[in-house]
This record gives sequence, C-alpha cells and structure tokens, in this order.
Amino acid sequence: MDPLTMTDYESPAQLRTALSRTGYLIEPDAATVVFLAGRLEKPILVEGPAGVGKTELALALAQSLDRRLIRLQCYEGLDEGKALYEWQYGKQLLYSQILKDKIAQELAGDRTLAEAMDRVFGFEDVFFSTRFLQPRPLLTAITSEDPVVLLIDEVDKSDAEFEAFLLEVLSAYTVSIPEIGTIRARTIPRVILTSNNTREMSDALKRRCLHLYLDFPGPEAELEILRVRRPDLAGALARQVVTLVDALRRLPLKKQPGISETLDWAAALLALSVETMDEEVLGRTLGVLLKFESDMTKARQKMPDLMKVLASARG
Amino acid sequence: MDKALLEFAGRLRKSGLMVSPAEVLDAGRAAAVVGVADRGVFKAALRASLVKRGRDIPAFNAVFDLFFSRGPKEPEPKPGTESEPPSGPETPADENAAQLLRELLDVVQPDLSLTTQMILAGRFSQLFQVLASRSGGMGLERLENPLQVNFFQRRLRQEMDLGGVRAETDRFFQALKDRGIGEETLDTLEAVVETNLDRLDREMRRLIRRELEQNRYLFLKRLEEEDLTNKNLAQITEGEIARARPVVQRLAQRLKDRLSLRLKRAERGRFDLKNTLRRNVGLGGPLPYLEFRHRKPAKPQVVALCDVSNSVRNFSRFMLLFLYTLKEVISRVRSFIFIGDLAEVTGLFQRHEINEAVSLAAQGRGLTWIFRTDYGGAFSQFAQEFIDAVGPRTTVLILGDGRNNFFDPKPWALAEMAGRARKVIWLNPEPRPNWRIGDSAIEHYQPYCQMMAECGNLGQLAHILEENLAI
Repeated sequence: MDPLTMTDYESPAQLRTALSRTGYLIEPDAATVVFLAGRLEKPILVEGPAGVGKTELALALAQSLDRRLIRLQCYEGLDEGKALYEWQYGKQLLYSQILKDKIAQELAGDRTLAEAMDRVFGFEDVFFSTRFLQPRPLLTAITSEDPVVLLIDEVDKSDAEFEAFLLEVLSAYTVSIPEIGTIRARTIPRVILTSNNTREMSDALKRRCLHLYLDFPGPEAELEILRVRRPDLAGALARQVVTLVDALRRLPLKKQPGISETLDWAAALLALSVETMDEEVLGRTLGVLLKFESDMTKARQKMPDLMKVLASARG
Repeated sequence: MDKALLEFAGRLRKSGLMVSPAEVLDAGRAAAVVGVADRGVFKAALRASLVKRGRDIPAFNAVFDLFFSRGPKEPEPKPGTESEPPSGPETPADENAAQLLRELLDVVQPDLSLTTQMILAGRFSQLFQVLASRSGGMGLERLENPLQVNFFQRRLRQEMDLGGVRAETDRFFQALKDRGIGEETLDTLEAVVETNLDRLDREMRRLIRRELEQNRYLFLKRLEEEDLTNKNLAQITEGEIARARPVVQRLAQRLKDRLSLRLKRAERGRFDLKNTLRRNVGLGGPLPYLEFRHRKPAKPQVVALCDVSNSVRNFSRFMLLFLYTLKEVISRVRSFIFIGDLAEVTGLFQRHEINEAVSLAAQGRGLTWIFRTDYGGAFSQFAQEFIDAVGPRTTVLILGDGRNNFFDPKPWALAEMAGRARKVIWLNPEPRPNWRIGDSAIEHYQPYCQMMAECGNLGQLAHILEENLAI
C-alpha cells in the first residue's frame, strides 16, 4: 500500500483489527474515539484508573501505524526547557570561543565602537539558530520528517503552568521560539495524553482534546485480553483468574487491580506452574494483585466469599 | 443534523455539563466523519468531543438516550405493520370488537377528522406521530416542574382537539344505532374507544414526563450539590455525608491546586552569586547559567483538635475528611478528638481507609467517654501530654462549638498552645450571634485565637483554609 495512505485507518473496525494484531484489544467505543482523533487531527486525552492500558494504547497505536513513539513523561516541575526546547548555552559559548579570531578579523575594519556593534548584531542569528537548539520531545515530535505518535504520559502530574505550553502545540501543532519564530509541524503527530486524574486538567486543554475514558473491562473482555497476551495460560485457569480479579475489584480497595496486574498475576501463575486456583495459591500470590497492606488484609478477610465466587466459576 | 446537535448541546448544558461552542463544532465534524448509521459509534463520537470529564459520562448517556430516542430518529415502523407499545394484554373479545369497529368504519365511511379515525381504528403509531409533531410548538422545553405536567397534558388534549373527537365519536355511534346495531354491541365498541383514548392519554403523559426528565436531569443533581456546599454542617445527616463525599473531594482538589501553585511560585528565590560562579567556572568568564537560592517554603503543619460530641459530631467528621484530603499540601496532620477525654487519632488515619477512619474517629473508638463536652479538660490534657506536637510551623485548628457545659474552661491551656504555635484557628459551626449564649466558653478562648470564624458550610471552610494555610 502507498505509505502516504497508510497513515490512517478507514473505519473504527479496521483500527480495532490493526490494534488487536499488536496484542492490544480495544472496546468499540474507544476505537471510535481513536479513529476520530486521526481524522480530526486532534489529541486524545485518556483518563481512567491505573493499569487499564492508557499508556499501552499509545504504544500499540505507534506499532500498528508503524510510527516512531516519542514519549514525554510528566512530573511536578517539568518545564518548557525539558519538554519543548532549550538553548545550548555551552555550545554557543564554545563556538564563540573557537571563532574568536574570526570575529576579531571581521571586526578589524570597523573604526568606531558603534560600527563594530552593528556588525555584532548582524552575527546574532548565527548563534540563535536551530543549530544551537536542543529539541525536547514536543519539538522533536512536530519537526519529525516521518509522522510520529506523541505520548504525553501522566499529564496530571505536571503543573498547571505546563499546560499552557501544551496548548499551542496541541491546537495548532506549532511551537513559538522568541529568537527564531514559529516552527510549524512538518507532519501532524498522533497525540495521546494520559491522566490518572490526580488533578483536574484545565478546560482550555480539555477543549482541544477528544476525551476517552478507559475503564476496567468486563470479565469477558478481560478473558480475551488474557488469551491474547498470555496464550500459555490454560483456558480454565484464565477464567478463574478473571473471575477472581473481577470479584476483587468489587471490594472497597484503596487500589483496585488493573489489567496490568491481571497480566502480571497470570505471568506469576505460569512461572509457578499453577494448574488450578485455590485459596492457598491466591493467598501466596496476592501481593502481585494488591499493592497495599490494608487491601491485602481486606481481601484475606473476604477469602471465603472469593472462594465461593471461584467455585461458581468452576461450576 | 446541525440544529439537532445544537439543541442537544443545549440540553447537556442545562444538565450541568460544560460544553463550549468549539466542542459543538468538533462534535459536528466528528458526526460527519462517522455518520449516524451506527448508533453506538455515533454516540461514542459525540461523547468524545462533548464530554471531557469521566464523571459526566453517566449524565451524557442519560441525556443522549432521552434526546436521540424521540420521533424520527427511531427506526420508523414499516407501513402496514402496527408496532405498538405494550399496553396490557388485550383479550380476544376486545380484539374482535376492535376489528368490528374497523370494519364498520370502512363500511359506513363517516365524515370524521383524521385524529378521530386514528383513535377509532386504533392506528397508534400514526397517532403518536401526530401527537409528537403537535407537541412541538407547545413550549414543552420550559417544563421544569412536575406540577406542570397536568397543565401541559390539558394543553396537549386541546391541541389534539379531544373534545371534537368525543363529539364526532358520539355522532358516529348515533349513526350506527340508526343503522340498527344492537345496544350490547355498541357498548363493547364504546369500550374499545375508551381503551384507545386511555392509551392516547398515557402516551401524552409519557411524552411530557420524558420531556420533564430531559429538562431536569442533573439540573437537579447540580442543585443538590450546590445545596450541600451551602448546607449548614451542624445539621448535616448521615445520608448527606455519604452524598457529600465527592463534593468535599472536589473542593479539596480545587484548594490543593491553588495552594500548590502558590508553593511553586514561592520556590524561585533570590539570585545566588556563589553557586552561579561555581557552576560557570569552566566557561571562562561569561555566566550563562544563573543560579537562584531556593527558598523551599515549608508546607504547613496542622494539629487538629476536634470536638466529637453529639452536637457537632458530623461537623467534625467533615472537617477531618477535608483535612486528610489535603495531605499533599499539608506536610503533617495530627488529629485529636475529644468529648471529655482527649485522644490522638492520627494513627487511625494511617491504618484505615479514610472514610472508615473518620467514622471510627467520630465514633470515638478506644476512648473512655464522659458524656459531656469539657473543652477545658481536653485542652489541659493536651497541654500536658501532647504539647510537643505543636511547634513554630504548626497551625492549631480547633473544631467545635465551644459549649463547655459550665466546666472550668482552663484558658491557660489554650494560651500555652498559642504561645508555641504559629497560629490558632477556631472553626465554629454555630452562627456567630449564638456564640456567647448559654454554656458557650468561646469568650474565654477568643483572646488566644488568631482567628475564630463561623464555619457553617463547606464553602466557608474552603475559603478559610485557603486564606490561612498560606505559606
């Protein structure tokens, strides 16, 4: 197929198939949103509990579109110097030292200070050019020759000011650098922002994005995911795994197990060559699923109920 | 389509969602891309462009289902087959009578209005379409109160000219009688007409009710929420606490955002020459990298003393919930509860889920209670046992009504705390005019508090905390 037309999918269904080939199963609604984001050239803001595959979505999309993934991990204190671009002062300085003699030559003909000054002003562009610009992920993403997938991970961890820098990039796909001017995107990146909702994003940012809420999958969907991602796990055991995880999610826990925990658990069970699930196995491996002591205590208290659920899954 | 979309956006706004014109435009583009053929895809497209908060999704779904389920957007019933909404089983006898009535209509060919014909023949899908289109111009979108339902139903009856229908029906039956049809048969036929009219009536009510739901969905919820923010905390009930939890969390979140912004702004300190020189020493003269002395602002510490006696129990419970939601911006919260005796409950919060801990704390587990509040006793106990908890960075927060049951107020204990603390703030759920009445010991304590504020509702609380936890 012509590489130019490969940049996007024809329909949500096609996108679903393509993603599933990379091992990422996506609900039809979510597929519609991802598909639309491509068509409307809009970023997607993905929200949802931890471990439901928000980041994974970007990875799978990049893989299926055969695009490079550029990742910007957000944290408190992230600023434009780390996210957009930075002037390489050191390099500028080094070059001006190296070129010292040349500069002296250039200025030799000038008789007055004012003349020399004018000439130096003429050099300025040499030093404030893209050569001395250190592009950071956002700038890299929009100046790339080949279209990329840009993942802005855990955007809620960044500060409210940082969102302001994002706005320009996300709505117009441009970056303004005072010394150079506005840099326009060569190719439109697919942008995915993920958020764990530790803080509410600003309305301005949300307005520019399509919104996607990923939730825990139902047991059937999760079973399908297990089949794809942990094909070695026996079918009966996989069903028990899914049933128990589903039951655990119904408990009032501090942190509910996500899909990633389910996958880890399945891997653990494979490593331990477990064949059937029982109270003892669950008790031993509970730490893979639950990350807080208080949650584990709660789960242990509910063990008889969990076992009942398990028994009904077997029946 | 565009008109429908605008109207839909209007409904969402009415339901309390924030929908900007730019988002409506996006939704239009999105709908144009995916089309309306697949309802699920269409819905997902609208949702992605119009709804930007996870918690608004249920509201969107409800409004979407209400809005896009009416009139022409539903698959049209194929002509000839009457797809009728279920309305109680019709007995074969009724069915026979209805059939007879239809045949008679064909034979007699009376001069009847269309509406009357539809009602007599029981052609409901046509009838309901007429109803839907007639209801269009009635201003149903103004309907916001259940009390208006009957009014609108009367209007709708007039609009359908049911009085005229009755008169025509009577004339028709008279004509049948004249043709020699027996009384008994006529009675069964009349019963059929009554049933049909009943069904029309029910449909009208359903239409109006649905409109009412559309107009009020989440409008009500929003009212409820605002109500809780302004609700007097002293009178809050158990059930309301459960409902208020998300509201508390939202308020806390907003406060957190603002406080952490302030922390950040304060971070960049004065120019630091020494570190600048050190950093640039390898560069031979110029100083491209500037260093600043970081004045790391100390996060405030809070010691909370909560009266959990019955009069203010729920109030304190709220406050604790609120304080612990703020743990990112407050470096340390130590909390104590008292009625007569005082006990530290900080540990409860470390071991238990916050909701559980708050209720454990409020129930006062692990304490021996005398049943009447004794502020003086509690303060002096604190001054003896826990005074080390209070340091120069600590804000002491006292939550309670100061009703001391005429015990010795022992103001010296509070004075001792105030001497060590950065600030003492007293939050009182009672309205200010009542403070000095009865057994209130407030005036003994007031001199030692930098601030003594009436804090009757969540809104006031958020405001006070923002002003006072400042760096």
